[in-house]
Amino acid sequence: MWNNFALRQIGRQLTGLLVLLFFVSVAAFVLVRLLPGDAATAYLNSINAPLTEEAIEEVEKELGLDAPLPVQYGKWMIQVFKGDLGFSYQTGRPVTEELSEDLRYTGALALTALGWVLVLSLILGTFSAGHSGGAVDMMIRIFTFLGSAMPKFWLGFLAVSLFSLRWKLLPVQGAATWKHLILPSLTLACSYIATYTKLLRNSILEVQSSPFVLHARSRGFSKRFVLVRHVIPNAMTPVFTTLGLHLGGILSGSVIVENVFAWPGLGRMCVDAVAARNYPMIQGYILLLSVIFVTANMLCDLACAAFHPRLRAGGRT
Amino acid sequence: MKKEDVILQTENLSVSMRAGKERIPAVKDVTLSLKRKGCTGIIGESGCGKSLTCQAVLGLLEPKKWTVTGKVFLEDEEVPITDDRSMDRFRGKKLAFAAQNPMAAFDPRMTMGAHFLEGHSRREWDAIRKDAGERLARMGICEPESLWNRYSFELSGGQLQRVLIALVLGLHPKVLLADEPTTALDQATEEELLRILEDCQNQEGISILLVSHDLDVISRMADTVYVMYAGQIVECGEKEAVLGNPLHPYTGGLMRSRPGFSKERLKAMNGYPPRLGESTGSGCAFAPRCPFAKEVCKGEQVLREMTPGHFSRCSCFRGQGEEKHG
Amino acid sequence: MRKRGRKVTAACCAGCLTFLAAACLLAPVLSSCDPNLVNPLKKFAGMSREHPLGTDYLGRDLLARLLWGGRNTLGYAAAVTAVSAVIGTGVGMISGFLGGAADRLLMRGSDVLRAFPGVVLVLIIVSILGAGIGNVCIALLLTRWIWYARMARNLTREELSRPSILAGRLAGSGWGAILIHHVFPAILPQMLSVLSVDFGGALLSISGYSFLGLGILPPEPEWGMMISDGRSYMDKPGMMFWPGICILIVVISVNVLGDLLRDILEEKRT
Repeated sequence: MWNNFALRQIGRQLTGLLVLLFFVSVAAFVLVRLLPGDAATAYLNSINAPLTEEAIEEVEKELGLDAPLPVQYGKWMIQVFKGDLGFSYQTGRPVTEELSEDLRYTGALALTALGWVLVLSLILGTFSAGHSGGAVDMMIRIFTFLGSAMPKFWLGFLAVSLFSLRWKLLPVQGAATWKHLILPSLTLACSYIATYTKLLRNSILEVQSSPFVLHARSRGFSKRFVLVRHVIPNAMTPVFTTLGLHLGGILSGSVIVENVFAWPGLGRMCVDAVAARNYPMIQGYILLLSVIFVTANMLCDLACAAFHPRLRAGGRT
Repeated sequence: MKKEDVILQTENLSVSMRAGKERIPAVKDVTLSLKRKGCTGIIGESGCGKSLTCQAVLGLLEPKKWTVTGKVFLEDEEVPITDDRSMDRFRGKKLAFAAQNPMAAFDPRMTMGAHFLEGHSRREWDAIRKDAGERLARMGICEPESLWNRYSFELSGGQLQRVLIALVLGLHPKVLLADEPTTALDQATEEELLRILEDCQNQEGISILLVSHDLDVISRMADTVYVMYAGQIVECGEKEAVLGNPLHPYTGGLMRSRPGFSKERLKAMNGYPPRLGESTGSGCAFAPRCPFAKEVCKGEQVLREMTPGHFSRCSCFRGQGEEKHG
Repeated sequence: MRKRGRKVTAACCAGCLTFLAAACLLAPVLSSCDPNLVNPLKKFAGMSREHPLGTDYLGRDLLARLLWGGRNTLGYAAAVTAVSAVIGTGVGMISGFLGGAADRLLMRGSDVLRAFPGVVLVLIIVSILGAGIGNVCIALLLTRWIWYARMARNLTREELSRPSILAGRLAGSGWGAILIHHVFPAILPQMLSVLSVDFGGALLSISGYSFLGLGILPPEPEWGMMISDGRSYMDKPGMMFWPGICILIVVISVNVLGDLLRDILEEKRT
């Protein structure tokens, strides 16, 4: 079922991403090793030992900091694979522990946003295409322009001041209940909803004019049946192929949205960490986000190929 | 011909394209009929409104873009061509459609089998599969089962056209509208396909409305021929009469531009048919390309019965005899 | 009908952009207040002749901050876009012309970088070099130029395959002359349409990072940072409203202009 071409394509993509991952890990490594407040001091700080010269030398030996850099990098990578990323300067807790806590919140936020994007853009795109040229279409198109140009941080405050402060429908900030999730996830999703609505509208219109849709209609299937069975599945293809591209954007965007809504996720943690020069945490964030991104992108590619028989069989669409 | 012999009849079928507030006529007052178990051929160059006529009969023209007027009768019932909802009762049940390009007529995401099973309940699947297999085997597809899980891009044009016809015949229609069924095929497959169409006409009693620009195909299959030019029927009648003694210079031109029909040198017609919306005035639309055009041709031309059952929309051309003098 | 509508839309967008840009350039003339002058006695002043848009939580004049902030936001966004466009177009054209291993590397690199979370790259650079608008701009430059390179490379390839290029060669023009006199003018409109939309993206990034406190450092005004300043005073909407609406207008205008340009180019092709 899977032929060589498809596998080679995916393989090439994977190698590229792994190379990128390598560079990112080197950068993350360099970040902590070569920067103000080097590793030895950092270590002494983290165990609250006094910063004497002998102590630093001793620690350097102990941590293998006198070894050549590539060796150090190798050792560090082994540690990383074991899940040891050091300790947070701010709290003194293991970085892995903190990250995994924050990841849950960011994951919930990003996945909910992804859900909004898929559902809402499908609805809006279908409506817009169905009424193309009409007033509904015009309104949806104006929304797509507004949505893609709206700065996330401004939109977030706008939403808070309307829904939370004026109408008191939803909580302002925090992450206690599912209600807290609604505004941040919608804010994060907004620009992608706009992009995908536009994409789907055009793609639905294109598919609708293709001969196989006409032919399905000629076999006696109703307009709605053909829309659901033939038009939408085919129109979704470009959505799935570009979803991988936007994953990075959604992860990036969560940094801003988390700051607006005081959402205790990775993004907020990392901005705090940058402000406090908490290098182990920054390093952990960079590595974690890259790994998530690479995995998600791979899954997306595979899902995309599985979804489209032509890709699976090896042709180019 | 007697009324009860007619299975499909269109009356003054017109299609015009909407462009802003304007209406650009594309098909003008087409009245044609199809005999029960017969085959009516529509011939003309591309862009003369053949396919539009077909799609109008099926009610498949998007009302946002096209305005359709006129009436279509199937047996004695009027076909509600402008009412999309009620057309679902006719399409695929009584009227079937075989599209121009079989490559594009299948959903690229669905297997051949899925196309056959679509819209049927699970209980019927086995029966449909068996029926389709037998039909495909009769059409000369060696291993119908092997096609079941294939996608359209994995099959050849000839195979797809056969699968497509098997697919629509499986719906047991009364009339098959075949829009250029052989255009995408090579000579050998074309022959094969015409045989299949003849079979379904003879064995299953299906009437065929065959649209083609290929005179050979029409002259082999059709009993009645309509020649279309610029959205109008310019000549019609029994095949023998129309092709044997064309009374419209356009038909004559089509016949001469076909290789091997006569010993004369192959003559292509000069010029091109008018484009959609290009004004042809009130006179004969073919006049600018016609070698016999006279002053009278600037006046409005009507479809007149020249000999019994043989109509032409030309007031000055009187068939082969005059051509030799002229 | 459609053509006229298009002209009106384009004129509106261009008008909005010119108006905002001119207002920001003329900031010293339009507002006599110092944007960074703190006046604790005049916190949250309403609209008045002296302060047309009122003052913020430190009593600084909002109009002055808006205009001077616009200079920063628009200026840095324009600089990032312009530099990355110039570098990218140059590298892309040369790469498209030369082909070979370097070209493949460029394409693969852009494939991989295409989707990578921008925040990660910016964070790496900002944590190495420290926060500040200059470092954010460097980070944005490093990630953005490759898009122009990719686009210019593909367009150059397309142009070079045209018969007119061969004719130019036969007429004795050197490759350099062909790239500059034939290829560059041919790909320019397409590049401008990309640039227009990309400017909006750069603006959103710059104000976004300033909002996070990684870009422009206080007390310098900047639209994204002004919104961040306003977050603690949600009951005084003026502080957040004006910079937000300015960002929105600029980004919508450049997006619409870019889209229109692309549509026109596509129509010309078909």
